[in-house]
Formats: sequence, structure tokens, C-alpha cells
Amino acid sequence: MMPATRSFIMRRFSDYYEKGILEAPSSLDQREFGFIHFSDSYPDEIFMKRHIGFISADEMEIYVRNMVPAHAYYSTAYYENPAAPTMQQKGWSGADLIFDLDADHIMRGSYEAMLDRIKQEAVRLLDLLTDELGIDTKTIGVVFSGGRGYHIHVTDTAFRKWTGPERREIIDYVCGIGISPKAMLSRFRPETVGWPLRFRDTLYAYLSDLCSRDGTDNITELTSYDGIGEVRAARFASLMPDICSRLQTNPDSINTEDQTIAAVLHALCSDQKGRFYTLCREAGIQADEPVTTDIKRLIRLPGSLHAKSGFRVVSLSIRELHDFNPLVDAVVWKDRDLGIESKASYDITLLENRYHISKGVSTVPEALGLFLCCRGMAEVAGGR
Amino acid sequence: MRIVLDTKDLAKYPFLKESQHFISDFASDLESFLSGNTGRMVIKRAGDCIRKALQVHDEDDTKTESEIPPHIAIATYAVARILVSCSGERALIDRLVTWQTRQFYENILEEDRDMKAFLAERVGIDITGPQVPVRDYVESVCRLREDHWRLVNRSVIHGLVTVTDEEIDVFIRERLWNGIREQLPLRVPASICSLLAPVLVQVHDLYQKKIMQEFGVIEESAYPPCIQGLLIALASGAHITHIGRFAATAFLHNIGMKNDTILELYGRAPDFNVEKTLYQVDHISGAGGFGTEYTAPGCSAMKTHSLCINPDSLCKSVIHPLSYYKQKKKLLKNREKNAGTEKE
Repeated sequence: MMPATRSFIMRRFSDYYEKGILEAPSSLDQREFGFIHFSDSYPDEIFMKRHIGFISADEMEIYVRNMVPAHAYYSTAYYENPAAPTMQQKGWSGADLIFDLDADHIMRGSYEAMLDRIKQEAVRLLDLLTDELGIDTKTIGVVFSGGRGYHIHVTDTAFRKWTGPERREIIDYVCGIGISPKAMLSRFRPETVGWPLRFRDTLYAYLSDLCSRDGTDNITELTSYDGIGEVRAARFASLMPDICSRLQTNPDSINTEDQTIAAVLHALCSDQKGRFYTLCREAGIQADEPVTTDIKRLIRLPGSLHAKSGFRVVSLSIRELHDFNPLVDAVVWKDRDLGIESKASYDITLLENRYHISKGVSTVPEALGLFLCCRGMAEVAGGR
Repeated sequence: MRIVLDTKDLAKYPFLKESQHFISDFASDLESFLSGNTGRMVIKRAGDCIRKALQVHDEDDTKTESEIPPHIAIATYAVARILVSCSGERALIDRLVTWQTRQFYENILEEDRDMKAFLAERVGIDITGPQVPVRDYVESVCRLREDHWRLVNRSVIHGLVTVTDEEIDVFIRERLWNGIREQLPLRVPASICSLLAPVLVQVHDLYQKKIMQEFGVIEESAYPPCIQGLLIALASGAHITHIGRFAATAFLHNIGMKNDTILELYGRAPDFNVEKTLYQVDHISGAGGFGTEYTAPGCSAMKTHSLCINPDSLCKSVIHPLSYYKQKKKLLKNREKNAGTEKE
């Protein structure tokens, strides 16, 4: 990034922060803050300045207005002394329960397509958290990260003291990790819901598809799983129609003690390169696990700007998520002209307009220009 | 729930507030109680409890001593807790709580439905229906290893998890473990700890012996693939994430490697900074006044952080790198023995 481009972005960030629209997190005085600044080497070298504490929202805003950070974060954790330099001295007293959804982990494609896909995932996650896990909607906050994803914050004090293992139990449930076919099927009852039901449906769809193919195809598919040889695959293939019918009527009658059935179901669920594993992960929510299990994480501050897109980190209620369009609602700047020098040609949708940007110098709306400059796709024209 | 507890119940469940109230009549002043004849007997019995707690499961005799007067049984429970609190060893505290809870569990299995419901209520759960709230469930099953306890393998709806009648007993046991463990270590006055010093020394020696038995002499060839990978990467100068360094350091500390030796290993890394590394190693091992001693991350956490590399067949049967190490050492030892026999 050219120094002139960096200066321009920083100036526009400064204008934004002058308006004072940061959102103070709850229990602000118990949170640690961290910032990445527009240093001379930004964005090639990035330094996080952390262990910062504020006693009031005013103090936080003054700091941000004066320092104009490229990225602003606060801790999901609550500390007795948030500004202390070591974790021991900080005195951890709890943390919000966080789920991180990042389109990068799910698909490749245009920015617009990735944002659409990840919003669907956020809606599914919210349904699972409320309908299945019974988390009170009043304690759930949704935040658009300003990049390619959403953060779901659960502030219910019931989970606040949880450490890694308890949070691991929840994120495994959310993602569908640790599925035991035997535990799922042998305990299946007509009233069973949640993952055992999802697993049953996924397995039924997968095996039905296999049943509809010819014999050689089945064996090739089954032997592609770790630990499944031809003999085992052939025997399992012969049992598949019966397994499918039992899956529909009474899954608990499937003999999971049978060595062939046990071995194949185990391989289906544990071979991470296999098709069935992917289907199970897709039946769950594809969230970034370490973010949930980490009880000392820093997360983006709502109201701040994301310097890799220039977009605003937007907090939303569950109801607002439905109509939220990040390519409109998280865009801060509007129609003022900006001269840019684009590194390549791009087609981009922003503020409900479709733009074609040719390689070289052109004049574009400032919102688009800043987006391209922040992403490293263009420089401010004449900035050399 | 109204239930009438007799003194036998109090002795069986010394954690109940009724039991604590009962014992306060016998030992209102702890220091003078411990200095008396009964107190000395209780200290000896508490030491015995910790010894039993340190034994492996199949050596352990967890029979209830019905002949012991209730006030002695309750005082023994309390003094054993004081003893491990004075020792400050996290693993020792865990083992005592596990042993005590196992005893309570054996008793719970024999109880009728009313008594079970009473005990469940005391640990904060309602067992009148077949469902428990997700929060209670998750907090209770964290220590359980079997697949069927994992939340993902459960029927969950509207924040409730379905459990069976038989599972309720295990559930109460785990709630008890959490409740009892949460209160430890107790803040014990120095004067009480010094009164217990002779037994404390014996307990500490036994604990050290136990660790040596479990891990023995350090054997690099028994390291799990993940730890070997981390150490190779470290030596070759590759960048290792913070969690990777933490995992390697905690593992080496847990198997009994001295901090200086760990520091030497890090000395091979190109970005070695002696002060920073010393700080990290001391921090993880609980030395240098940090107090908290860390345990190496388990397999699931290693997987989460992409540190589970080249897992071999033994990895499939363990859930913790430390268990891998123990088992691999045994395997290597047996292999050595067999090779020796063949030669003869």
C-alpha cells in the first residue's frame, strides 16, 4: 500500500471516528482492548497493541479518535484488571460465549456470494442456538465483522464462567464433531430430535444414494474411506437396503455391534477426507471452533471500521439480520468521487449498483474506491 | 423434598450441610481438635484416604466403613480436604475428589428414589423428569469420556437434554465432583498446615513416587507423533504458534522434565530469547511464583489447533498425549522384555 493511499484511508477513518459512533461493550471497564494502528509498515507488518483498559465509553472514544486505529478489538473475557500485562495479573472472571462464522472456511467465490452464504449460516446457527440449545434470544447479539463473516455473542451469565471443556461441548454440538454412530442409532427413539435426527437423515440420504448406484460404484466409494477394504465394503453394500429401511422405521434396531456395520459407520464418520464427513459438517454449522473454546479472545469492536474492507463492524438484533445487506448497510462512505489506480479489472456490487472497474486510473464513488484501496486492489490515484 | 437423615446417612454423605453441622458439635475449634487423640486418629485416617486415592482403580478398596462413628467419618472427609489443600498439588486434589466421589457414588447406587432425588436436589438438579437443562448437562459431563455422553450424541430440544434413569446416578456423581472440587483448595491457616506437616510429607513423597511410577525415566522414543513433530519443528527453526509451544512445554513438564532441560530444547530454535522462554516455561510449570501448573492439551484441543500430526494406530486408543506416552512406554518396555527373552 502506497503511503498516500494509507494516509487517505486514515484521514477518512478519522472523519468517521470524529462522529463518535462506537458502541461500548457491556461491562466496558472489565474488558481488555487491543488495536492495530496504521504504522508506516501497515499492512505488510501488523502489530497489535493490547492490554489496554478504559474506565468509560468516553475514554474509549477519545482514544480511538486520537489514535485512529486500522482495527479495533475488545476481549470476550471479563477481567478484574484488564490492562494488566499478563493473564495471571489480569484476573479472568468470565467470558461471553462466542461463535465465529467466516465465509473463508466454507467456500470460495465472489465477495457478494460469500457474504450471502455466510448470512444463511448465521441464520441456521441462531435457529440451533435458540430452538435446540434453548439460549434466550435476549442474550444473543449478532455482529457483522466488517470482513467476510458474523460473530454471534451470547452474554447469558449462565455460560460466563465456563472454561474450555464446556465451550468445547457446545461448539462440537454446533459443528457436529464427535459423532458416534453407535450412540446415535442405538439410543434412537421416535421422539428423538437434534443431532441424532440430523445424523439419521444424513446417513439415510447418503446410503439411499449409494443403493441407487450400481454395485461397483458402491464398492469404489466405500473403499475410498480409511480402513475399509473390498471384502468389508462388499458385505456392507449387501446390508445397505436393510439398513436404509431400518433407518426410516426404527434406527435403534440396526445392529451396531456387527463388525462390518460398526467399522464402516465409524469410517464414514471419522475419515475427514470422505464425502460423508463433509455431508455431516454441512448438516451442522461450519463455525470456527477455536474462537468458541478460547476464553481470552479479542474480537472486533462494534461501530469500529475494518481496514481490510473499510466497512463498519455492525451489531444487529436477531430480527435485523433478516434484512441486513452488508454491501449497503455496512458501507460508510457514499457518492463523492475518488480517483483510483486499479491493479486489475474487477466487477463489484456495492450500494446496490454493479460496477466494472478497468485496470488503470479511473474515477469511482468514494465508497467503492476506499473498499478497493483497503483490500489492496487499488491505490489512490496520483499518490506516487 | 423432606427426608429424615440418620447419622449413618451423615457419615455416608459428609459433604451435606447437615453433616457439617453435626460435626461442628465435636470439633468447634479445629486446632485443638486436631491436637487431641481423636484428631490424631482422624489425621491418620485422612492420610490413608489420600493414599487410597493415589492407588490405581483396581488396587483400590472403596468399601464403606460402616463401623466407623459418624463424627470420625465426617471429620476424616474434612481433614483429607484440608491436607490436599495444604499440599497445593492440583493433581492430588483431583485424585482425592475423584476417590471420595466414587465412594459416594457406590452409596448412591444403593439408595431409593426419594433419597436420590434429595441428593440430586442438593447438587442442584431436578431428576423428577427425564430431561435436564443443557447448562447443567454440559457442566456435568465434561469429565466423562464415553461417546454417548457427548452433547452432540444426545437428543436436545428447547434447551433440554434427554437422560435415562440409569444415567441419573452418574449425573449426580459428576455434579458432586464439580461441587466438591470447586471448593478446593481451601484457605487453610498456616498453623493448621504445620500441624499436619508429618502426614503431608508422607503424602507428598507418595505422590512423587506415584508420578515416577506413571511416567518414570524420560524416554524420547515414547513421545506421541504430535509432540515429536513440534520438537522437530522447533529444532529446525520453523515458526511454532504460541499454543504449539505451550503444548510441547506443558507435555515435557508433565512427564517430569526439568525446566532447565526444557529451556535447552528451546535453545535450538533460531528465535530463542532466554528471558521470554524462561518466563513461559516457568509460567506453564507453575514455578517462579505463578502457582498454577498447566496440563498439556488433550487430543481434541490439539486437533482444533491443527497440531495433531501423523497420528498412528496408538493415537486411536487415547484421548491425551500423556496417555499415549504412558502406553507407548509400556509397549516399548514389553517389547524390550520379549526381545530379551528371545535372545536367551
